[in-house]
Amino acid sequence: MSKAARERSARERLAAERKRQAAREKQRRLLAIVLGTVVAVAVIVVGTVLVIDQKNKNGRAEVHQGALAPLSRQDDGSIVMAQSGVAKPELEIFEDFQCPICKQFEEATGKTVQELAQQGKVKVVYRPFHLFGQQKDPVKINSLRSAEAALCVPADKWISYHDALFKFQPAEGSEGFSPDDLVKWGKDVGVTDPNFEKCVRDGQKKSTVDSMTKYALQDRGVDGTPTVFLNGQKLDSSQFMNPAALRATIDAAGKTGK
Amino acid sequence: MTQEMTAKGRDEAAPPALPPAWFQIPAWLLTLAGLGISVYLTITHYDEGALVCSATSTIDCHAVTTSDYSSLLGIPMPLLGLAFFVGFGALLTPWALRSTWPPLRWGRVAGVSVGVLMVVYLVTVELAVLHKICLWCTGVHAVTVVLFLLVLIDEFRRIGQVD
Repeated sequence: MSKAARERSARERLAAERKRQAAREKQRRLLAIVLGTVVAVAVIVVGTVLVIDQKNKNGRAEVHQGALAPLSRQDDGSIVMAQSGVAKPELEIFEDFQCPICKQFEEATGKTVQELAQQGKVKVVYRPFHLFGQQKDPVKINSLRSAEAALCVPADKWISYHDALFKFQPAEGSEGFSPDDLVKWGKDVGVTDPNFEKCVRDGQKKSTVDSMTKYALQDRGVDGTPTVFLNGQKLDSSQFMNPAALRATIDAAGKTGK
Repeated sequence: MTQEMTAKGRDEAAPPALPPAWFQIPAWLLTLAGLGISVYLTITHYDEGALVCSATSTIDCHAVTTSDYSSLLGIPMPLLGLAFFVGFGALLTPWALRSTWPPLRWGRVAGVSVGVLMVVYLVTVELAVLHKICLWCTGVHAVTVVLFLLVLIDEFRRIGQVD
């Protein structure tokens, strides 16, 4: 091989080596970008989850907007929502504020129930109680504290407070419904009664919750939540979890007068 | 010159080599394990009674798989896991591994990167929000993280090989 050919060959080898080196550098850079992006996005994901969770825990309860049928509290602690003179059909709702399916029920059908009552088509009776008395804490204490606090709220603030309790419902097994939050949400929705805070913190409504729980479990045979009765007849979940089905059921009951 | 041409022709004709066994065998075993658990969790998503898991104060599959976080944009998490492992299995076939088409190789990297980010999201939710651990879900998480590491190690091994 001539000297010129050897020099050309050496230059080609050098060029090829430089090309390989450039390719290695490019791949290293791309992998570093991938790794860096994964780490950065992971940090953002963790931060976002924590911030949203904190926001949900410390969120502000909102006052209900829109027309509602008049609300009043009965001696047994239950809340009646009905237009004057409407006694039938009667829709009774047994709920526990720690119950996730009750939250789903309220999200799916709560607004329809309020509308039907406001239109004078049904008398609604909310019967909150302490279903999870046999469970372990924090499920048990969350259930009890929320039921007690709900009974400390004046009837006209019931819907706002009731909606707030479901909105801020702690995940099953998580700490939640702290007395501080229960008091704060009451103030958020406009409770001004000076005894409200003491009522919540001291659990002053425990005996009423106990009697409402006994009524639900023993007298009415409620064995889970939500349980919904229409004129004393237990409705199927397919009837009360679907707004259209519930509306049709109530309309039918209104027409037949049953 | 003739010898050089012949050698070059042989190189072009030879199919690209598959990744080494230390990558392929664990990757396939892990993908099959992940697929199996995802199928099981998908079944239990629609039939809660089929879920077998101990329930203690910290370990509670039921609390996790029925929580608000058990679906993303309306799609159940187990279905997303199932789609991930089916897709990743397709990227692990000999044809896909031999292919020099860059999107397949980067598809593996992107797939496990998204997978590991989902693991970060779900573990954060379990530990910081729900305070509950689902053992079956942890199995899927571990599989995904190891797959991510395997793909990453394989990519570093390939540095210098030009696509």
